[in-house]
Amino acid sequence: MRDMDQLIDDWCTRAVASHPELEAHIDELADHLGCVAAKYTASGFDRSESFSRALEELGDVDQLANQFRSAARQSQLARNVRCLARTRRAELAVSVAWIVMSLGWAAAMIGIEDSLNWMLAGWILTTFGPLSAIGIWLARREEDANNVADA
Amino acid sequence: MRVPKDLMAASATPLVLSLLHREDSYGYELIRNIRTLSNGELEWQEGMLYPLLHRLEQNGMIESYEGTADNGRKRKYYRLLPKGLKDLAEQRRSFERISGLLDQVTTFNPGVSHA
Repeated sequence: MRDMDQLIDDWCTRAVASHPELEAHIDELADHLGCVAAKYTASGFDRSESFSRALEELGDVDQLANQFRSAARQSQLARNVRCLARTRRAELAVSVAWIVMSLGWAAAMIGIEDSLNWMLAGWILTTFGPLSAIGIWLARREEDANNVADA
Repeated sequence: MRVPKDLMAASATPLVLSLLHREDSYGYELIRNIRTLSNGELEWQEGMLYPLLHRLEQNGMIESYEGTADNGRKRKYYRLLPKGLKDLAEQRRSFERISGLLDQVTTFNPGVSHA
């Protein structure tokens, strides 16, 4: 099978040279070509004919590269949607905490005498302040995790 | 009977996940197995399968690991992950619902004509 291996390796070199995006998949494609070619060789075809038929089954390399590109784009899009969904959850937690805190602050300013005003404001801040901080920390942690995953 | 192209595309993901649920496998073997199991009615193209495997791997449904073929070449095997198993169960339910609905609609024949 040495000649067949050489034919396959040459094809791989040319394929990667014309479509660098295939480099990550080239070993898999080479194995596939080898399997198909071996099937034809076992059926009585000579090596050259077996290799040609294997290439024919594999199809147009431009189209194959396009399909890999398209699959990569779809994967990226799916990942972005997932990240967005995760980040949105953390943002929502922060927003709710801020809204509740603002409403509490406004209610305190409007409805209660000065001495109680500051006590209530202090209570609201000590309760919802940490909540907001936790929300922000969660959002940032998720963003960092997303950045690491993207890298 | 040839399976229409759009139905073949829609069924490819659950079929790949099902095949990997049976055992770890690699691209050529998946194509060969699906051809055998469908009595030649499903002919997957390499240009369809490999990008699909890549996408499923990116989405965390399957993972690949390296092995060696008999001829000494590197071989990429795939195995099913828990997320893929969960997705397979959901897709199986969806197909069963559609199949059930199809049965229901085709057996329902009130004989009303709007002509």
